[in-house]
Parts: sequence; structure tokens; C-alpha cells
Amino acid sequence: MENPQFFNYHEFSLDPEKNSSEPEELCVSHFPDIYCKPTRDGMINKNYRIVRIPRRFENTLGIPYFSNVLPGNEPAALTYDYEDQGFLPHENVDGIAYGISSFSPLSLYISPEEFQNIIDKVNRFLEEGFRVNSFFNFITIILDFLLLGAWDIVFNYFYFDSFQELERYVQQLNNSDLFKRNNIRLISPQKSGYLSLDFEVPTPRILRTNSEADSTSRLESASTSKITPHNDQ
Amino acid sequence: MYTKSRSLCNDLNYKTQGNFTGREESLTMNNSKISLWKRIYLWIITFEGGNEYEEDTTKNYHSIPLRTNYMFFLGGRFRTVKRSRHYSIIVFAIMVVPGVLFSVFECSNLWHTHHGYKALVFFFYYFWAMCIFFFIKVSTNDAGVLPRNIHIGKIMENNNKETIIIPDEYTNTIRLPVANKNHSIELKYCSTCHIWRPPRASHCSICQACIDVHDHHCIWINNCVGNRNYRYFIIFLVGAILSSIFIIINCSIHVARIRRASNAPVAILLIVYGCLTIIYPGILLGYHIALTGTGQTTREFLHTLHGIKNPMLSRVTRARDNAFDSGSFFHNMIFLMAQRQAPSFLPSRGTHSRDDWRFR
Repeated sequence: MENPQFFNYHEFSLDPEKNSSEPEELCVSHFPDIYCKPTRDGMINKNYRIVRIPRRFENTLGIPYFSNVLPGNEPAALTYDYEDQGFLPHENVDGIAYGISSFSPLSLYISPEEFQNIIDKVNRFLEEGFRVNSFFNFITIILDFLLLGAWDIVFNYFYFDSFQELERYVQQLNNSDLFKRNNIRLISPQKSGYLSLDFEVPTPRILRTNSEADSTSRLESASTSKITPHNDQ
Repeated sequence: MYTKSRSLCNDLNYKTQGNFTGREESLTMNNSKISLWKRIYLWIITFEGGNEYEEDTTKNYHSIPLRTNYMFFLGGRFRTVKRSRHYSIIVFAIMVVPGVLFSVFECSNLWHTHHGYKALVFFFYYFWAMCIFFFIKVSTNDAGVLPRNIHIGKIMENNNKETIIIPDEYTNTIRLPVANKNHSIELKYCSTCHIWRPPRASHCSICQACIDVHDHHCIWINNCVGNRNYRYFIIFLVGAILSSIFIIINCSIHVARIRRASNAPVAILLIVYGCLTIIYPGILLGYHIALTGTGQTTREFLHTLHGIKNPMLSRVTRARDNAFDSGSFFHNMIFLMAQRQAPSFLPSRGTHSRDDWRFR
């Protein structure tokens, strides 16, 4: 059997509207923001989207380890030669712009190097937190055994573990200039159950001028389109 | 491999799932005040959840029972599975009865001798307490419930109703590479919880929740055994075995010290009782040592049996294509039995906003 290659398993393809002149399928690389406060009528807030960083298993199986390459740079990502710069919105569907490759809007705000630094740090916290062969883990088990489970309660009150340090790092990151300037946010991985690392980004939208609307080339309109981040929070 | 297939979607309407109903109720009851009695009742036992939101936030233990099969006690401190056979009460009684009989009829006989039997009495009580405490811990704690709706593909709005769309790609089982080139790992999407389940996590149809590192749902503790309570489960089994051993030893000493065994009927009863109650935990512990040593969870092992209903009669062997098997029995065993507990993702005593999708 062929060896599988890693890809962002969160992404999926989407058919453009039937009357669209463009037959190409869109690649959904950003998703509804379930973390954002909903609109007044209780519906999901469409001003923000979530870019999900998937878990990888080449390094470790028992510990959550997130992909440290920007979505679109994975070995089996969908890419096109003319899209090597990152996310290029191709078409609006329900007012939200999607591209045709695996690149996500996160690539508009963070460089691959910055992204790798962030994820590597998150992975280090998780590795420390979930490491089985650690002194604290064995001490915890022994004391839990000897003290009939009471140690766990004491331990939780007085010991600041790397999970809490990770939460502090996430807060620090969200208050950083890079994140504030770009109006992006890293969702607490504890909130997402370490199932994926979720970045909240402004919803990409294509604003077409009249001249662009007349254009017959979809690719051209995508490359000249503007992305409008919305800040109504 | 990833394919750009057409993504027509499975349509899961909140209305039909009943998920959105709870939210509608919560919004309509937003301004109503909960009476003090209702509040006390909800604190003592939360069976069907509390729909009332006095403010923008609510306790997690009010919302979790609406979506799962859990019920909570004492302000979310303890949980159990509702709508199931509560064998755990019988198990609890089986554990308590010998300790009570021993305390009433046997303890003083040994304690007041001058042959140093006090230590044996102490050890019995210690392991008996261990057995009971860890039974309570394993059966009433979060086994590792994963949050819901984290990986929603698309949401469609129609007449002020939100419908979750599951793309076709999410219905496939996907294979991803691991460090060992000869192996790969499979991931599946849970269409009930709307998450990509990590390896070894699975959806428990009894608890109605996805459990991280799901070993099995144990009917005797009425809870799942997963990442957050596996080590407690093992300690509970060890406690049960050791308390049975010490009750046999203590009562045997008493019988040996009297002329006629018929003069100590309770001691004989407890020896028989101890011999019987050591069997099941003993087999179970041996079974888990064999399973963890071969790098398997109970669920994974049952999958390899293909139709054999009683796994106890099957020999535990190493599974083929098991990416978790490091090759070392000891390393495999430590990896599972001593696995670090993740923080509770849905802490029952925490709070959440009423708009939180993870509780819908």
C-alpha cells in the first residue's frame, strides 16, 4: 500500500455556484468561527473565520503535536504554480472568499517562520505537559496511590503545570503587536480540546470594482481583488 | 490521499437533532428567575440539565446533560451515566459489605492479640479505602470527554435556523503518516460531535460523547475508562485485589487461632467472599497488563476479534499494523497506564456563555 502523505484533513472542496463561469472547485481552508460572540439574532458571526492547524503524527503519537507549516505547505497540500505567495481569494460564496488551493488566509498575516516559531513553542509546552517519562508524572502516580487519590486534589491547587503555561503563552501571543495589528487571535488549545490549533482571522471577502466584474478571467479578478477585514467587535 | 471530490453535504439540522431546541428554550427563559429550591435541587442533582440562564453564562454541569448522557451531583463534583443499568451501586455494595462485616465481627479479635497482627488489619483497611476511593474517582470523574462542534465544516442559515453541513470529505477515513514508515494512522470524523477524533478517541454510544484515549465503557463503574481515569481504574483494581488478599489473610489467621472453625462463621464467610471477589479484578488486571503491554486498548483489541463475544476467552496477542506498539512490553505498558491526564476540556464546575457552540 502506498505510504500516505500528510495534508490538512480539515479542508474540503466546495462547488462554486451553478451559474458561475468558473468550473474549478474551491478549497475551503477556513471555517465558521464557533468561538466568536454571535450576532444579535444569535446566528454565527461571519466577520471572523477559523483556520485550523491539524495534528501531525510523524513525531509522536501519544502527545498532541500540531503541524508547524503554514496551511498550504504540507506535503500533500493542493497548490498551483501561480499561487506560491499564499492565499489568493478566488470566488465569494455566501459573501466569503475561498481560494482554490490549500493556502489559508492565515498566510496573509503570518510568515512561515513566525508561524513555525509559534507552533514549535506550543508543541514544546504540550510535550512537557503530556510527557509520560517525567519525574513529576511518576511522583504524582506514587503519591496518588499512597494518599488514596488526595494528592491529585492538592497537586491541582499548588502546581502550575505546562498546560497553564501554555494558556499564558496564548494570552501573551494574542496581546502581541503582530496579532493585534492583524486582528487575529489564537484560540486557547484547551478550549478546542487539543484537537486542532485554531487561529481566528478576519473573514476574507472579495470586493470587485466594476472593471473587475467585467473581467472574464477569474484568476485575474482574484489576484486584483481586495480582502476586507471586518472589525465590529 | 486527498481528492478534490464534489462536496455535497450531509445535512444535520439542529431542529431535528434537538440541539437547537435547548438553545431556543434557554433564550425564551432568559429573564425568568430560578427559585431557591430549584437552584438547590439543581445543585444536588442535575439530571436533564438546567435550561435556565439567568445571565449570559451558565454552569457547565447544567448544559452537559442536555447533550450527553451524563448526570451530575453536588454542583458538578460527581457524575454518572443516566439512563443505564446502575450496576455500579451493586459493585459499591460488594466492596462495602466485607469491610463492614470485618469491622463488626473480626477486627477486634486480631487487633487485641499480641502477635503483631495490627499491621495486617491496617493494611486491609488501607487497601479497602483505596478500593472504595478510587472506585468513586473512576466512576464519577471525567473520563476525557472531548468538546463538541470544534470542527464544523460549514453552517447554513435558513429562516433563522443554523444547519451544520458535513462535507463528503469528512465522511472518509483518512490515513496519515507516522514515524514508522511501515505504519500509518487512521482518523475519523465524528458526525455526532462534529470533531476529527484523534487516534484512540472514540464516541461512546452510552455516554453520548467522544472520549479521549477511549479504553472501554465499563458497565460496572457506569462510566467510560479513558485518558483521564485510566490510571485510577488500574489503582482501583489493585486496591480490590489487595483488600481481598488481606481480608483472606486476616480471617484465615482468626480461623487458625480457634479450635473449631464453626465458631467463626463470619471469618469463613469472608474468606469465601474474598476468594470470589479476587477473581474478577485479578483477571481484569492481568488482562489490562497484557493489553497495555502489547500496545492496545480494550477497544482496539475487541476490534481485532471479529465477532468473538467474550474477549476473556481470547488470547491477547500483538496486533498487526499497530503504530502504537513500540516493541517493548514495559514501555507500552507505561505509555498507557501512566499516561498523563489532559486537563478536563469540559470541566463540569466551570462556566460557559450561552452561545458556546461546544455545549450545543
